Amino acid sequence: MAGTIVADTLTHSTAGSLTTDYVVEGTVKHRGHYNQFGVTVSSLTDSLNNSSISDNGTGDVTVNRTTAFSNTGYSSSGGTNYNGVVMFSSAGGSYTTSATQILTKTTSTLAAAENNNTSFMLSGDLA
Amino acid sequence: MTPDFTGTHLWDRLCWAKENLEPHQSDYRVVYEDSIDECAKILVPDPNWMACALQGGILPPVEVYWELAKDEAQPDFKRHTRGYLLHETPPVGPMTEEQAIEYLIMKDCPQSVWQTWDEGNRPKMVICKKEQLPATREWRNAWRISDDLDLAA
Repeated sequence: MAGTIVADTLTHSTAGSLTTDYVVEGTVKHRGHYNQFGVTVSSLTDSLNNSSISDNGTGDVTVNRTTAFSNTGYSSSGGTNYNGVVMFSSAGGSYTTSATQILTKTTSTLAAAENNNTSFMLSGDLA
Repeated sequence: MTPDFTGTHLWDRLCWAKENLEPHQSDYRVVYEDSIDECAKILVPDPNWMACALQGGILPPVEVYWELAKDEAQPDFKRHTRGYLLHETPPVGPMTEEQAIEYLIMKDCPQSVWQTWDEGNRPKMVICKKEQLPATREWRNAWRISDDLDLAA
């Protein structure tokens, strides 16, 4: 493919070397940003490797991937507006190689809440 | 013009699409119920994904996702060993927006919903325009597909 650089190692003049595995495996593979507060249905404002979002109810969405992770050991992180927290469902919800359930809650009571500016980043090995 | 992505990793195709295609926010929404104990869920297509579907030559056939889902449903599943299906199966051509929604339903809605959506006493799934949804999220956790739905409309 045009513009391709093939390299197994990146070497800095003084800081040492890094295998490109770090880059390939450490890159965020699925990310997105959505709103649920003040809208009829959750809507995405930006994303990568996302095929759809399922609005499951108050503070509850499932994000679906276009290309799946190889296993369910991928890492999840996220954030939401100032008075909310983001949780990723692993028990009883969707946490598969192709979909991840995200719950948003209030900080004070952990009640389900419709928040603004919720973002997520998932990294791991792709299938 | 989409490059020939045959054999190209799907991730690389998505990165190309992100850089070269304008996102397309569809007005279609899919309302479905997969449990009688839960409220209706609403599937919203991703604008970047929809751009890929309309463009063609990027996404794999939907059957590939079913194969991977079958593998993952096995009790001894540890990791995908047939991920190459995503990358090596020739991509599908351009779709209309309606075809893309059908594809997305078969990819992201539970099979138990779309395979038998009109069997039983009431429909489990409806495709609608976003204007047809309630104007606010009031009582969101009580939303259900109406029993009075006119499916012929």
